Amino acid sequence: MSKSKNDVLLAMRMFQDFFSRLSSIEVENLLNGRATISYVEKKISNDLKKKFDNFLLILAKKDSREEMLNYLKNNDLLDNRFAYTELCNYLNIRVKSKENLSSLEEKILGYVEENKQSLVQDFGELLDVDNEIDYIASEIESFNNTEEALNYLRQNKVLQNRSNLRLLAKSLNVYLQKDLNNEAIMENIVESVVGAKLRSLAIRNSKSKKSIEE
Amino acid sequence: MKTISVINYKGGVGKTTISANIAAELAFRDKRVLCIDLDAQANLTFSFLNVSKWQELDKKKKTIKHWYDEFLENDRDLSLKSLIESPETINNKLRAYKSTGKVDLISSHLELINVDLELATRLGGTTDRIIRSNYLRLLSRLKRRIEELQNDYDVVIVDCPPNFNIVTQNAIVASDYYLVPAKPDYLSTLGIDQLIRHIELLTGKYNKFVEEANSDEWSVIDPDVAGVIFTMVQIYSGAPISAQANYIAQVKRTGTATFNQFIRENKTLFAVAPEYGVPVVLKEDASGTYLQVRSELEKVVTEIIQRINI
Repeated sequence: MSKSKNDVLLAMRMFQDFFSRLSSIEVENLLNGRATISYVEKKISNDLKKKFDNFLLILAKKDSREEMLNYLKNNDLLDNRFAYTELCNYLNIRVKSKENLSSLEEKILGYVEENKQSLVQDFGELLDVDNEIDYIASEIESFNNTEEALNYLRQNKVLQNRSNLRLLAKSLNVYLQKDLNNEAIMENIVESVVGAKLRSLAIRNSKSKKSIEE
Repeated sequence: MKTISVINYKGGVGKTTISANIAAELAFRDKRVLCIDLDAQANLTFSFLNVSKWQELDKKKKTIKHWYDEFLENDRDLSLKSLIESPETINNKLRAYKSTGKVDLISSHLELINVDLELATRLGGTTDRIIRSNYLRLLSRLKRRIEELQNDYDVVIVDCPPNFNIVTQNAIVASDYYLVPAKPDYLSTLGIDQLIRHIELLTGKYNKFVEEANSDEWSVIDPDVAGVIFTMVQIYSGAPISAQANYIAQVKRTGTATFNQFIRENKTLFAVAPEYGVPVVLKEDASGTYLQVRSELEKVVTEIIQRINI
């Protein structure tokens, strides 16, 4: 455990906060051994994973170490030591408690240089799909006609794959029942995103700007 | 002073729970809050007072129904001040927390349901001028009496019935803002659009009559939607379940103001709290899930304060 006075004080405050939120029964159970405390690391969110993958892909595509270092030092994603540590944990790079930022930068750059080819290949494909799905999601929200929206989805090659369709539904918070075929998934997406919007407009008896333009 | 109506056509979405908890938390943050219960079910009233206390108020003619009765029977426009009650339990709790805020209440009555029918007979007239005058006079009654309380309160919270009758319209005309608690399901989301449309139509008609009247006696209204608060949300892995997230996203896509914070389902906590006269948000020994519910309510109030600048 860290021996820094500051860390010890912070840890004590954390424990104090934790205990103050327990009921008297919960404290009693802990003292009597009928309950226990455990350490659970938070998983990084899917959103953060996507950002890390994108960041690593850009880094891997840089031509020189100097460019890589420059990008590493000047990006918004790694703006503090905690972010560096999270990225290292994501890459299974061991981090010592007192390790400074320069050392972490070296480790990250070393990892990227060693795995350059596979990063570009693997993440390149994945992120292309992710970016395409994000783009489709923003496009579908702008439609004011369900038939046109459905045709737009049908014509998109990325969405021929059912798992990509489900990813699109998830990014739009569209609820899907199990065992739907591709066409049914598309109809659900269009109904939930475009259909619901048109219903709302009809009830409120107002026109959207796009339909006026049309 | 800001007046906020809590409204939704659908019953059982948490209007009264939201009203009671918002009032309590605002008072905890040292605001002077007046709750007006316009729902004939009187649930907000019974969230703060027990039945015997309410019976006393009824005998003394200290409910909102009696206020409307004076108008209907004797054509008298009484002050609301005589109807105001300070519920003991919640205010004692606030004192124990060292809060300088308070929660006062104007109680409802089960017979308020008949008042709507009688009020409707006061609309209409033989000429356009009389129709306009009757309309404005009838719908602005609550607004005028609430305005008299400007110096006594920071916030007025009006718990509306699940309909759009005259009593509810009184509340909307009197309000600076309205909050819409809603369950994230198909029927509730349809109801939100209908409600907003009706309020816009009411505002349009009222303001048209004000302009035609061309008199200092009346002023235009502009009740703004403070937002939709999603209630009874089922949580899985820290987020609403997909079926509900679906409807939350749909409402957001319509451009309707929606609160970032939602309130999770907790039948035990919300079922029991009204019986003790202290809303969940003031529960002191909360832990685990109860603590999560309480902090969600606190965050909703923080959003309200930011959105409407209390």
